[in-house]
Amino acid sequence: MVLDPHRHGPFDARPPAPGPAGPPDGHSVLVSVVRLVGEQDGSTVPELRARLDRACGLDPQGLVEADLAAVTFISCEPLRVLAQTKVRMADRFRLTSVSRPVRRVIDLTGLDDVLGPVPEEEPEVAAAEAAALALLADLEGEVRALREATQGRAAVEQAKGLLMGINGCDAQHAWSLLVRTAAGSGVRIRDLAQAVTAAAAGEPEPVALPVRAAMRALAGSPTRGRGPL
Amino acid sequence: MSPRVNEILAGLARGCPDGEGLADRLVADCAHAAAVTGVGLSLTTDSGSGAVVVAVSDHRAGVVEELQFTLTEGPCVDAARWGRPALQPDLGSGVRPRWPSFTAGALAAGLHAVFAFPLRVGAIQLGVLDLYRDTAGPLTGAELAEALCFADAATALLLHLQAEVHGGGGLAAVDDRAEVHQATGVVSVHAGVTLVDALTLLRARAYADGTPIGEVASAVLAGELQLSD
Repeated sequence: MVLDPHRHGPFDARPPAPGPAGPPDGHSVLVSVVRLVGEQDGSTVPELRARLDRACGLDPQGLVEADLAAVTFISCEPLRVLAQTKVRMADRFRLTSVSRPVRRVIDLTGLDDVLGPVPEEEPEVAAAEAAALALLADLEGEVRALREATQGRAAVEQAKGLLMGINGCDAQHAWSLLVRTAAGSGVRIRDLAQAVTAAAAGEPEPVALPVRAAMRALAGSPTRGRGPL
Repeated sequence: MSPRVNEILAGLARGCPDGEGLADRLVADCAHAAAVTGVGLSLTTDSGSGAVVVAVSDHRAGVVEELQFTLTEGPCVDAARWGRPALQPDLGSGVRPRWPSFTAGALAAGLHAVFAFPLRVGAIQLGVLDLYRDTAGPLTGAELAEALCFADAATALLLHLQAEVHGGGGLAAVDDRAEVHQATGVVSVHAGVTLVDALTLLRARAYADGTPIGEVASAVLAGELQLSD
């Protein structure tokens, strides 16, 4: 769930922020805070993207901050959106606070290089209940991230097997085919693998346009022998 | 694969020497081991909307399990759709429940917490294992670990039940090696069957020959073995 970006006053009016977030000239700029709560996955991406786009467009000089302290789970899709925003906005965008489950996924994916240093969330509520909830969220987040990673790996192997069967090639060739096509079309290997397995199952075409383009590239690849792709 | 999963499967086989009632036994054992009120095991489609309830440990779990698929909303539906656990330790909390109709129904049945685990092998969505409790509160770490092991055992059981339709297969844990997943893809193309049927063929061959499935997979990948329906 993504809440409305809260408009804060001019940057100067806020308590001094740590780190090099402010613009060099000390002008008053708008700081928009996009606060994410609860579970963040593929289903929340469109909303997240819309909120971020709006916040980024509010003031051409303005700063945009994402607060992930209350996120209990994050999958790779919304994380990717945050990384894209960071690449686009550079110093004008930063994560102000992350929960431990988010921190773990950022570390696991190696996105900390892209997203820059992020302060770990400070437990604001001292109540034991809050601590217990955080612990639970942490555990759940970990369980989910681990399961997702395991099943994702298995799905990529299955997709490789399908390509091996179709093209009569070995595992290494199938892998390079996946990697090349994914890179050429700007989609994640995992998304492409999922599209391959879905196509093999006779499911409707994947919705995301880049994935569709990647599938077309795969189907038209010169090594193609036979099969459903 | 955790040794606990093999232990659970061995316990099931011992308890049902004629192979009857394995699913009933699994949900009962799971309810006991994870200290929950009820457990439901369902076969689902990829979209998560269609499902068949395979076994429930008690009447209430049966009511709530059917409810989810009638409403096509609930943690079980989400778990199948997104392929990751949906854990809701307190259905009564929250102003805006994630699943309004399901939550009302579950609370009316006296169930306050639900934990749904997707049963998958890579891209193959097999079913969902749902745990229900009549009191609110999260699973402890140990209970969660048990639930995950039972989910893996349930995955093996669903594959086993699937294999019986095709004429036999052992109640063996899923081998998570890359070769097995790749061979699943290859067999799917060569035999012209779905991924789940391809995995079933591999498992049935391993069972019939008394060979580890990893060896069957390697033979398929080396082109030494062709499997067909």
